[in-house]
Amino acid sequence: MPDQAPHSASQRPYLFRGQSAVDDWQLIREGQPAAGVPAIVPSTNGSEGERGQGRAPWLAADTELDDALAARLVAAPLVAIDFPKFTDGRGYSLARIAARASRLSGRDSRHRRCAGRPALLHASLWLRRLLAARGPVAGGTPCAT
Amino acid sequence: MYRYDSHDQTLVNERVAQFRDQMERYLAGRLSEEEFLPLRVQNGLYIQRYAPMLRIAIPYGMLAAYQLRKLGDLARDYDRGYGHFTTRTNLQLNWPKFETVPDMLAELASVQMHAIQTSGNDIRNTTTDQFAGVAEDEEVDPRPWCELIRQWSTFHPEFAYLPRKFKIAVTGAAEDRAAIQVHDVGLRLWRDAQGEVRVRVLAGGGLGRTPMIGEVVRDDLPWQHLLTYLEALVRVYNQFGRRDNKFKARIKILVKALGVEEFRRRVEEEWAHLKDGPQTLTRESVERVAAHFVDPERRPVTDEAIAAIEALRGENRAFGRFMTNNVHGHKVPGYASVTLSLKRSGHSPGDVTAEQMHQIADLADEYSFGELRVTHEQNLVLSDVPMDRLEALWHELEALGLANPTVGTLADLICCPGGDYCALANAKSIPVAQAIQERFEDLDFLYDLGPLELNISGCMNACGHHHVGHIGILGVDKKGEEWYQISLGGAQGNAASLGKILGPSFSREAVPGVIDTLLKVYVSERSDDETFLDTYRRIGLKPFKERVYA
Repeated sequence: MPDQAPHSASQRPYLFRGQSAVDDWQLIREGQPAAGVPAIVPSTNGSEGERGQGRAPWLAADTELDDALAARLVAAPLVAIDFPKFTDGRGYSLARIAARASRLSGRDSRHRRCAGRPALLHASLWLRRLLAARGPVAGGTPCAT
Repeated sequence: MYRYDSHDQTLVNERVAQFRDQMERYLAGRLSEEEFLPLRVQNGLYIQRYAPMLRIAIPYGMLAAYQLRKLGDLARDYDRGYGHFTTRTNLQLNWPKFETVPDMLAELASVQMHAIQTSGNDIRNTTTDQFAGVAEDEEVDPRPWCELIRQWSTFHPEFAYLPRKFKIAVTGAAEDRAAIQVHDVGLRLWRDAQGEVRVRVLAGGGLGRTPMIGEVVRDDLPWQHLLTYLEALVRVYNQFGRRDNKFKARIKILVKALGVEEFRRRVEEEWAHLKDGPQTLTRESVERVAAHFVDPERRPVTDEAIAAIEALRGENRAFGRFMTNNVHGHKVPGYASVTLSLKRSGHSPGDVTAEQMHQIADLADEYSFGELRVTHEQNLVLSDVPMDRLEALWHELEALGLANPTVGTLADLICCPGGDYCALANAKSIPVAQAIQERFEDLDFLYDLGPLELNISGCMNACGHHHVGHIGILGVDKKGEEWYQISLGGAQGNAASLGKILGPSFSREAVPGVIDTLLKVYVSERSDDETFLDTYRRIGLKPFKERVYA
């Protein structure tokens, strides 16, 4: 597990391919002003915000993907998925569907999960043994799980 | 029996290390109660009424003698010297010390066991026919398919936080002994005209608060697609199952709300993306797993020896009773399966002492190729006993108090731990079970009643499967007092049905008398060789009701 050293909300350490890395993407919730980059913004904000340099969309757990949204995801530098609760696993299925719909599979992908903030999209969730052998899903996350 | 490969062992060992760390952080106050809860339940650790409870997985009910010996060690060294076999064919230890659970899990890992996903809103232990691989009426051996499902579902990262728990049961025999119609998913394996395995997929069955019989989602799924189809089905549930109300979160509510046609449409639509994908099973992958379930090298048993046993059956009444009730047919002539009854007057149904676990393990080594099965009726089975050793085994079981010749009778009742242990229970169930067993001890009377399933649950979560008991008893809370609601006409098996409530509930003291009245109605109303269930289905609830509430 990574150290539990204090860190700012926007600079959480995590493991990526076994290496310590820093996530400096800022999360922008609905109604919040989109300050600075890089930032993860609500997908419902419309495409303008997303298209800017250093902007990426996050999807709510109950998102039902349509072609238009999928097309926007293809262009995004990353796709985040919101986990409203630690125990709400809808995001994992949405991740699989979003990855497929936006043809993200095969691109670099990262996966994290934290209560109250989005997880970065993992495009190869089904590689269960590979993942678990590295430390089961929750392993390597910056939150206390 | 399946033996772990290095992947399995690594996964289980790493889970032990991970949980040890989580426990340390919890005990040090670095993980909150709320954060620790989903982590501990995914490792089978509950907080019960008086103490923690550890539920250990016994995948599809198969247990090796050396594993049972280890379970006995754990019960002796970490608990109060006994364990409880559950209706999901797992073993519960009711008095472990919280902080020693990581050590217990490490011990389990040393014999290829764990407590992973025995709780939590994930895919639980898959259950199957206790006579899998040896049943006379078997079309397809379900064990390799259960193992494939185990591998697929264990640590499935997408399905660790489903709306609610998810239980799969599998059978491949003419008679369904796995209760597939009352599971979240039930699978019936069968063979098509070419001899290829196909799968009938049922979904949306279940007991609990809202009991339902599962509906057929797909009748003829080719075996190659078993895992991709399950994946699509569980994904639809994960996305659309209700999360706002835990009492409405099981898949049965989703299937009911959408209707099976719409549910099927969504599953098939999702499956279209997965079909023929990387999780498609190949003949090679199935054969690799099936190789773990080859028949043991059984020595032939002579016709003379079989005849001698049949003769003894006629001569020795007690042995005859044991043969009739506890010994079951086998696909190989000269062999039999033997049920070890864990139902004894004065003992909680499904309970076994540490010492008995060690003794039973020795018997498995001695008489049945070192393997055992746990049944969802909370008994144990030695599945491969040569008939010329039945008499010797019977004597040994008699000495251990495990030869009670009442399997399948009223005395073989199913019972959850109830209010004596469980924090969820509304009422105690074990004292009711014991009072019934004491009242109806007479073997001739039990045999005269014939096949009779009586199931007791201490609350509507229905761990004691009361909905599918011919007679079901449910503990209810009425203004802080324990009362018992009785239902009739439930059944498991091919013609599964849900019991109907008889009427207002009864005090605990009144229950044995009510059962007695119900049995008297049956005895006076039955014709020829009708079973209790036959008679109930013919005459309905009314005559029973009139007599009980007269």
